[in-house]
Amino acid sequence: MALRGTMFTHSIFRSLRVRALIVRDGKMLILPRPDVVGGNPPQPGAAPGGGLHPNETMFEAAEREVFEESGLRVKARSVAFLREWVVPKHWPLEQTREMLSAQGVPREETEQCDHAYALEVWVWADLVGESAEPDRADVIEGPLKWVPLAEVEKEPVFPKELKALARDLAEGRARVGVPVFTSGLGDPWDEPEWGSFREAM
Amino acid sequence: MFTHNIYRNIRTRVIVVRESKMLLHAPCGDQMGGRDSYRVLPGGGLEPNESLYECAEREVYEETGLRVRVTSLAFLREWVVPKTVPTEVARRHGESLWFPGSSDEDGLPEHAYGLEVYLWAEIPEGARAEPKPGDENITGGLAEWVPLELVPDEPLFPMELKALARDLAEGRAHVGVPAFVSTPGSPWDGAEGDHVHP
Repeated sequence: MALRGTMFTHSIFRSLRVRALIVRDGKMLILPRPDVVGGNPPQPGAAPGGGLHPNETMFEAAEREVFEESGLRVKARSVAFLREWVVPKHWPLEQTREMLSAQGVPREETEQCDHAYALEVWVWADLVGESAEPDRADVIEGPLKWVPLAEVEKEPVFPKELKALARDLAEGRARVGVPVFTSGLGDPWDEPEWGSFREAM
Repeated sequence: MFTHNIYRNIRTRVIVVRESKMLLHAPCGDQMGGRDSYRVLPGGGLEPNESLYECAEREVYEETGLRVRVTSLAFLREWVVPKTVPTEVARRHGESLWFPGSSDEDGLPEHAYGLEVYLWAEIPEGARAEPKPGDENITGGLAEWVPLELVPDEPLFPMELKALARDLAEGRAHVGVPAFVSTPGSPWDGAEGDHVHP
């Protein structure tokens, strides 16, 4: 099955992940994540998310992962930012292997190759409906933590850029996002479905 | 695309706008089974040990001879096979279009995923802006500057670029969000810089 492997096996279903940014009533959703390691303490908060399943769009993956991990129903809207891991150029090789080893990945697998790449796509997502409470009890991750935007920078969260983003929002700056669209081939002479690019979101 | 390999299935495409013109490859050969030729943006696949911005800048240089500076992410385009692109279409066009190596010798299942990352870039002050032939087999013909108001009349992949060019021609601000490369640190670290969004 194509889902096996790690960022060292270069599979797009492992190297590409989505993370959902959910803000409601001036608070950001933070989850303690066992799979985010490194730094101190070892389980900082992050956003819900994960890898794509076969035949799934990025937004579908984000919505599914949020539901699995937090029990919340969301609608993905746009892309907030991208975060890359480029090993070893921008991230030490040995540290990456150690990190994966701590997650139970055998060294033989991460030693197959001396470079790796991962891309996290952070998407804006809105809660569907009125409730900010999980609508299921058996969520994978820990309890939901709604952190006021102005306090996110005091939390242990990855990536640190999330803190600047929360501060921007706390100070009233508009949420900025760019679209994702799926594509067929079509005809190069065709017109897109929308007249203005902003309609894509 | 069916190899699921990131170095084949993640690609950059670079949008450079200067003096109300967009940098596009000249219409490239007829690879659509008897249909007209079409234009694409410069760009290409990630190489090992390369970030998206680095990839984009290298590809533009290889394909157009221009040194550009990437500034932000414009949008993403995804290919989900078979959900949004029929398997048969992806197999037929994969080799000649965006995803080389899509043949199925590896026997993997008939699903695939491809991601095109569209980035804004600019030509730094004082740098040369006249394209010259690259030193590599390029995706399309020699790149050229096409006036924004003419872009919607061109045969173009992806067609959504026409809406983008129209927006820019009408003076709407382009929107970009950042892409950044992570480096090791503590989750207690503060963020560098004041704002995430450019």
